[in-house]
Amino acid sequence: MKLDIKSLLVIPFVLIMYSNIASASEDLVERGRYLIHITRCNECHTPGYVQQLGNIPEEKWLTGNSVGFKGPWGITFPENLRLMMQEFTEDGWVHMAKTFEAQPPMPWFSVHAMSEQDQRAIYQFIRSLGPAGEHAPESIPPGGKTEHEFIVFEPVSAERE
Amino acid sequence: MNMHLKALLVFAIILVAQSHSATAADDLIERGKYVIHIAGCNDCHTPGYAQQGGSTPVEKWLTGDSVGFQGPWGTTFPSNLRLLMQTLTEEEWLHKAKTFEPRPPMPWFNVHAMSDQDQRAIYRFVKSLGPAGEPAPDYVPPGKMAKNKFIVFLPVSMEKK
Repeated sequence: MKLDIKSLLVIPFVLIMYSNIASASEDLVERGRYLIHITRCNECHTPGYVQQLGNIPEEKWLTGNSVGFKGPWGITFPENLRLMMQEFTEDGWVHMAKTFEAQPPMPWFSVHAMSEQDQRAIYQFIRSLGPAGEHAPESIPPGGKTEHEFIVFEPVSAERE
Repeated sequence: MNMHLKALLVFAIILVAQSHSATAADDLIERGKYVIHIAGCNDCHTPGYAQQGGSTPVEKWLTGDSVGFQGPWGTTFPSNLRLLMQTLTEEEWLHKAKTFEPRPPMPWFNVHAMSDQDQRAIYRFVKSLGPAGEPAPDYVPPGKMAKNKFIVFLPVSMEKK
């Protein structure tokens, strides 16, 4: 086989292209890690995150929580995002991120406000962590009972003495 | 090159430099608005934000809240950040953003995790909104009665019958 100079020239271009693609997707994972870190996802979706002042190893991030939040909507539990992301394609997640309206206290409006690139970055990062943990308990309708603990997410007044 | 041309050239360079630094400053304010929008600061620091699905006008953002959070630490109220930023220089805010550890449930660890640039952007944006509103109620120590409403930020169980 004879390699002429033109075909040899193609090789570095292909190599540069591949390395660019690889580093772009690593950048997106890194960007997703940063976004999850500075927004409030871990506070509810990672057990013990607040109590341990944010010192939870990344491997345990976003595995969902069995401590719920109770209000007029019933009782909701923070989902396991590590398992949830396995069910989505990237485009499926982007569609969800722009349109979903979850029950309180999930601040879905903060996710809507993210740029599409940031929504993709979150997907890439969580997928890179892989699946872990169990599914969170099912949400309970108003008036329903649960064996799980919950925070009553409604303002109350101190009793007058 | 004659003197007129030199003067014109200097003038042009100054114009370009000024428009660049104006754009950079505007970009930082815009970035700060985005970071605040996605980071969830408004969830607690803007009255009614969560209840209104995040549609509160920007002019009313971050004016603090008189609904507190109660736990073993006492009762805390989300600060008025519009007033707070007036009392800090940009460098003082940067130092605070990297080191402060207020009482729960403020997730200061999220703010520590932000890049210098994002911390700076937050300052520029909040400062650009100007002061507004009243200071939040004072912290109430454990065992003392809060006059304002509060959310009891502790998990509870349903009573067994």
